[in-house]
Amino acid sequence: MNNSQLYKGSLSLIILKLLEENKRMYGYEITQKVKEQTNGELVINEGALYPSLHKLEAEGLLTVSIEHVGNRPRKYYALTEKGEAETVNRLEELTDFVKHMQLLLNPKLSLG
Amino acid sequence: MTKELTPAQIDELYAFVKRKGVDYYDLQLELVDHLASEIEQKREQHPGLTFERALESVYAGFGIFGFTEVVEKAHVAVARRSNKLWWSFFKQFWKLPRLFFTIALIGFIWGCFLEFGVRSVIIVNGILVMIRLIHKLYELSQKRSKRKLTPRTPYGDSPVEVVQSPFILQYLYFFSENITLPHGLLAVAFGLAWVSVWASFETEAYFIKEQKRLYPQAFA
Repeated sequence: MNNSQLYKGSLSLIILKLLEENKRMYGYEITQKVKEQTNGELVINEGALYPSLHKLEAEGLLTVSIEHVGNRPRKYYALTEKGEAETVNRLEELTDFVKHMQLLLNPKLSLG
Repeated sequence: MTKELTPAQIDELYAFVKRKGVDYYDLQLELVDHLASEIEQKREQHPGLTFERALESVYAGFGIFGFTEVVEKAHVAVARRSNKLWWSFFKQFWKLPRLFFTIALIGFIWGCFLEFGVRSVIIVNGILVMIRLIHKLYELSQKRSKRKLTPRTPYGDSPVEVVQSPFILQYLYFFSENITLPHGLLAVAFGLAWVSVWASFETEAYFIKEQKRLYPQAFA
C-alpha cells in the first residue's frame, strides 16, 4: 500500500466497505479485491492488513468464522450489526471530509 | 486451474510460520491460509515457479518486520477485546435484574462485618481466594493442548489474574485490628471485588466457548 498517511488511515474503512459489499471475506481475498478494484494501483501490505482486521474484531465491528476450504481451514470476517452502523457513519464522515477538502482546495467552486 | 498445495506443503507452511515466531495456532491458521492462497495463485500465473521461491516472494510482501508486527498487534487486540468483554459483564451487575444480586451481596457482606467482625470476613475472603486459585491451577493443569491460542493477557493465562481484586483486599488482614473505615464502605469494596471476579469468570467462559467453536483442533 502507498506509504502516505492518508492511505494508512483509510485501511479500516476500505475493509469495512468491502465487507459491506461482499458479506464475508478472508484476508487474502481482501488484498486481491483491492488490487482488482483499483486496477492494481493500490496494493495492501499484508503486514498492515491483519493487524487492522484484528483491531476491528476487538472493537466488536467484525465477527469471525472458520471454514474448511480444500485442504485447510480458512478464517472469514463479516460485519456485526455494530460494524454495519459504523461503516455507514465512517463513510458519511469521509464524504463530508472530501467535500470540505474540495471546497478548500478549489476555492473557485465556492465562488460559483 | 488452481494447483492446490499438497498436505505436506501445508505442513511445511505451518513449520515456516512457527520458525518466524508465530507461536499461537489462531494466527498460524490464518497466516498459513494466506501464504497458501497467494502461493497457489503465483504458481498458476508462473507454472515454472517452485514452492520455495513462491513462499519467499510472498513472505516478502509482509514487509521487513515479517510476522512480528502481526503477532504483537494480535496480542494487543485480544487483550483489548477481553477488557471490553469484561466491562460489559461487569456493567451488567449494575443494571436490573442483576443489580438486585449486587445489592444483596453487599448487604450480606455488611451484615457479616457487623455480626462476625472485620477479621473473620477477611479470613473467609482469603479462603475463597485460595479455593479459586486452586481451582484455576487445576484447570490450567488439565488444559494442556498441543496448540496454544493467543492469550487474553500480556502475561499469559496467569492464575493470580482471575482473583486479583479480592487477593489485593486480603492485605487488609494485616491491619484488621485498627481499621477505622466504616463497615459499609468495606462491604462495598469486597462486593465490588467479587463481582469483578465473577465478570472475569464470565469473560473467560465466553472466550473458551468461542475458541472451542473456532479452533476445535486446539482443544483436541
